[in-house]
Amino acid sequence: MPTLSEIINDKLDRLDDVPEAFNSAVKASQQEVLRGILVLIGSLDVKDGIILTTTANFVAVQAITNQLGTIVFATSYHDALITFAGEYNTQAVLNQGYFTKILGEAIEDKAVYQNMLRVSQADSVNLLNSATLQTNLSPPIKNILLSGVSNNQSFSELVLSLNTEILGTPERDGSLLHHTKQLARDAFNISDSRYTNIVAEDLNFEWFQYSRGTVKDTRKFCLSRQGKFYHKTEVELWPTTNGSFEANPTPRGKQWQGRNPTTDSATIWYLRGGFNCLHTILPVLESQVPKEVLARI
Amino acid sequence: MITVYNTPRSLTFIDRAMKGSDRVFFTRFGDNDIMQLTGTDLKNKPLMKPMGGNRTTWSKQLQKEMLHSFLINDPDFLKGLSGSYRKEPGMRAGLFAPFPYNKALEVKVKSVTNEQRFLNPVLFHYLICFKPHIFERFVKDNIRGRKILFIGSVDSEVAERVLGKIDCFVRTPTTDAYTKINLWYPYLEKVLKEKPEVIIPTCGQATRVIQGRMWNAGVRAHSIDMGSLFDALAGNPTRTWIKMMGAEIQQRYAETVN
Repeated sequence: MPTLSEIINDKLDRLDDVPEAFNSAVKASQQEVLRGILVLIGSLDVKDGIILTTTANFVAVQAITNQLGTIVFATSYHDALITFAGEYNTQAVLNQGYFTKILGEAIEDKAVYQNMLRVSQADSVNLLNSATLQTNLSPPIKNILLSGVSNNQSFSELVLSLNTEILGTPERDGSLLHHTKQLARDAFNISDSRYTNIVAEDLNFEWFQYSRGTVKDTRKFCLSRQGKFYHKTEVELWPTTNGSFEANPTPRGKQWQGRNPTTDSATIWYLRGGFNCLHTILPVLESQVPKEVLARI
Repeated sequence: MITVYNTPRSLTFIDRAMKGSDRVFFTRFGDNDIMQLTGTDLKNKPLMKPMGGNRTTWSKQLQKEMLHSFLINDPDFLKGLSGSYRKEPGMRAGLFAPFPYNKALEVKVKSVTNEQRFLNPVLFHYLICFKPHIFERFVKDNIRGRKILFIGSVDSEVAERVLGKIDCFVRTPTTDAYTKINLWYPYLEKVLKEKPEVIIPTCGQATRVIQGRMWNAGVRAHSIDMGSLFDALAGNPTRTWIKMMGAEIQQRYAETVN
């Protein structure tokens, strides 16, 4: 059996590694997406290297735009998404292992936990599926294509513009990666926290540790809590006290940096520090909590 | 000489065994498993990278546990093996046809065992694709309606489309389940105390391992390794055959059987 710290490290490392692996695969698939679009723009009417402003070309632009979701799903993106969805399951196994380790006995994988995981997986896939991609990728690519047809752009310039939009530049991610990057990370992290929380709630955990090391851009909210232990009631106060323990409701507009606006005493458990937060509110046994912290409650 | 029976004969073996005893295990050893058993690839080089659809990482411990299962010698511990079985109607390259490198696999098998007769490793995959009525009859007669334990990464609701109501579910990692076996095996041990009648383990190379562990622990049940069949139902194209036939299988079982 791995040690407790090995399980925790594995669980926390994966919060970063799994979305990162997915996003690397997405980045690689952008080249295939570009190739797919370039094949389709071969149907545009072009004379002497200039794209003609014709009705047929406008119709072609619409047809190409309508196929974007399908084009993406015909690439390795599809396999990457299936692999990503499968990682939710592996993360749940790790979470079960964590609870088994600290409780000293295997916990039941109850139907309610299974349903939570099922919903999280489905939510993520929906955020990253063909229809959503169609909605999000279409506007910029359609604009490039329309501009090419309306302005009699040269075919090579159009290819260059599509190249920049789809593959990105050293400063800017390509359009597909731009769409998936934060979504994948937040979806995976939120799912992990939801699963952890539902099990902790069900098993009546009272104490928690704000876990995960400092990463680049760690926000103050997370930095001030990192590694510290809190009682359940303290955590639930964070959204209304802006993190301090005084009963001092957060003035409107004075939220912590990066806070998700839907954070409240119920959602704090999985929204944590907010967008892009890689921390986790880890359930712990009372015996793990330092005496001075126990004395606080 | 190694003999691998065709699918009808293999099915008869399993069916008779299940009707004759309340303790029957069927475990499949495919090409990747044979390589894991010896720790070397087809060119006899050490296994370095994660292998196959399960992305299994070879380790000495995995090899030891797989060998333990493979070497169990009992008429009720049935084994399927990738070998030179007869090509049956519908089988073709990528779709259950015997591998062209079977001779090399047989050399490896002979290096670890003297056993010579094995059942067909693609039995249930082949049946669900090409003889669905026979597959259905087997499930109806031997599995559905009994107390079922499903072990795997596929959602239990998906597995229920084929098996009917699942009573217990042990979640395993989606890939390389063996490396995390110490995280999920304790729960399997706990669930086994509920005395399932039928066990369906679907966790890649870890399936071969737990079959040996459960057999040794004296588990009295029918534990039937059906392999990647459930990946097909879930729409996970982890194998070539799923890419070729998966959509059809998925469509056939789109609705729950219950």
